[in-house]
Amino acid sequence: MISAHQLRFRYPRSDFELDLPELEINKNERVAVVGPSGCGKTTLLNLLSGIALPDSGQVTVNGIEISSLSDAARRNFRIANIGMVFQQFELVEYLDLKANILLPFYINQSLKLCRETEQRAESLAQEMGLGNKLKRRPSQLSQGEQQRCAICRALITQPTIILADEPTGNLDPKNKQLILELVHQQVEKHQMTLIVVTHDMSLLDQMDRTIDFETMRVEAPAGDSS
Amino acid sequence: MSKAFQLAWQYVCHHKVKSAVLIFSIVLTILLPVTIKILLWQFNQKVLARADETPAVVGPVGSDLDLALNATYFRHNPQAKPIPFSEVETIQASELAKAIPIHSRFTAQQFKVVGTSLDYFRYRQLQVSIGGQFATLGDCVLGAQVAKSLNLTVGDQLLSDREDVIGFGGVTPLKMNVAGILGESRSPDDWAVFVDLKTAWVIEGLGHGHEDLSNESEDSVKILKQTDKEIIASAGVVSFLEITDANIGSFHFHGDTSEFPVTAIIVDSPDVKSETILQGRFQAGSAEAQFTRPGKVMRELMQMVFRINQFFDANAMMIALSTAMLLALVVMLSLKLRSREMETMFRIGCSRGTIALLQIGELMIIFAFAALITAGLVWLVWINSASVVESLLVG
Repeated sequence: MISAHQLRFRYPRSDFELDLPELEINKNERVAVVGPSGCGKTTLLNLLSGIALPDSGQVTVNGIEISSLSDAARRNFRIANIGMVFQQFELVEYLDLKANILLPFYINQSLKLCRETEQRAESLAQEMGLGNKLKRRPSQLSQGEQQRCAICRALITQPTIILADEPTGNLDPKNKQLILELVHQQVEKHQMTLIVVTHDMSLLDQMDRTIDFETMRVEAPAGDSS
Repeated sequence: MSKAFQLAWQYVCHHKVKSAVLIFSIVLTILLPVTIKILLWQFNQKVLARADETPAVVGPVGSDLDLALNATYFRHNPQAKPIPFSEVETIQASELAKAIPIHSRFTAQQFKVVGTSLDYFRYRQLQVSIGGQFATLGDCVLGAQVAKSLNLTVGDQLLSDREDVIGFGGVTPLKMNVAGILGESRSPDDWAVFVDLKTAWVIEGLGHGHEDLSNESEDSVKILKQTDKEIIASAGVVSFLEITDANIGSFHFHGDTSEFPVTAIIVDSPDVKSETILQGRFQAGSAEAQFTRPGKVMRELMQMVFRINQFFDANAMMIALSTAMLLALVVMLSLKLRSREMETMFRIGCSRGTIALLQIGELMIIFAFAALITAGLVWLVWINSASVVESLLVG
């Protein structure tokens, strides 16, 4: 379960302030976070994942208060519990598809890269329809394929929570539908919590709950901080 | 660490051109000054060793350096008027030293023809590996590299070069008989063709052989004028271009041999005292010849070379500094271009320390490759430096 209580956050040298009195997301829940650009949706994901720390208030994920953890512990917590999917896919150009999926294992000492992990990466790629493209570089893949690869990377650590920031924002309608189906399949299969930041109202039907961020906002943003 | 290193390796492999440019920039920045240092060191060693083996020489008045180079490397200075053979006789007569004449004006197949005496081989401790020493006029003994380059052996013949392309220089080519081949000495002697001093004079045209005119009648077209003392012949008389057993008797020199030229004299003194006395005599009395010590001349030359090299060192430092600054710029621009990649890594759980390790790993790979290539090339330069310097000195 994820909960936020009396959360306040302000970027240095910025007028933008996020003020979130209360938020609770249950285990296995699928939540869409909507709102205009700059209202703090991405900041919320950063706070929930421990990338950013609140100025005040608490974020508790699976019973652990994130701000109480050290940098290293927070990083290890994030990599073990949270999978992240980005709008721009953010794949590493010089790595092939398989290495991109396994990237969390390359960059974190707490994760052991073994044969079993590699098999899991291959199996995930297979499930995402990328089984025959493991040796390809991101530039050799279509946008839909790149996002599928990014989803595999988010799933490889077997997280309990998926945080997706505009996951379909760069995709055509056909790929958008395919990606959503694959994400929901995986979330259901692995009993994960899904939080999706989106502008796309057509996604909301497939979610359990929608949080309209605009109504939770205390102060209007000065610029686009999301 | 090893996982981060794998990523760094992937990055370097993916950006082959960029990596290669960085590697070769580093290689060139290090290799060029190191190569100059090695060649200079080798040059210094070779030049001083050779000069020290030749403590004193006598030669034409003028540049000490030209004289030292002529006596030790057979480099002929066309501006210097050779000294007369009488200087050799004077030194011998003084009994202060043995005089070894050097005549190095001509070439054969571009290799120096050095007219000297048999004492030269003893003095330089040169051993004949095949055949024997030059015994008769027209014989030659080849340096090891000459024999190898021209693929000649004992019994073969070698034609001396004309002094100029047209052949109007008065020097006619002489076909020399290879009497012996010297063992390799890794010195300028390997690159020379040794002949007796008289053979060198024959090449110079001071001595020659031709058909016997004593049996010709006075009305022969070959005889222009005949008296009791001399016969003046026409150009129709056949001059020999080769010295054989059959015609060697006809070879003779016109004029006083004590006036014949030598380009340098190696002074082989039994002790320093004799050498110093001889030096004093030349300094006091001779207007045509000078006495010099190649070791001193070469040390002065090398001091100057090393002083000039300091400018190259400063230049190399500046180049290294600018290369380092350019590399830093490339790295900084690369980091800026890759800021999203780094940020993504951080967001999915990579520490800032690991990100820095990745960058360091990439640079380490670049530097390791540069170091390996540089080491390989430096090794190549090192093993070839001696022969490069030798060929520079003799060529």
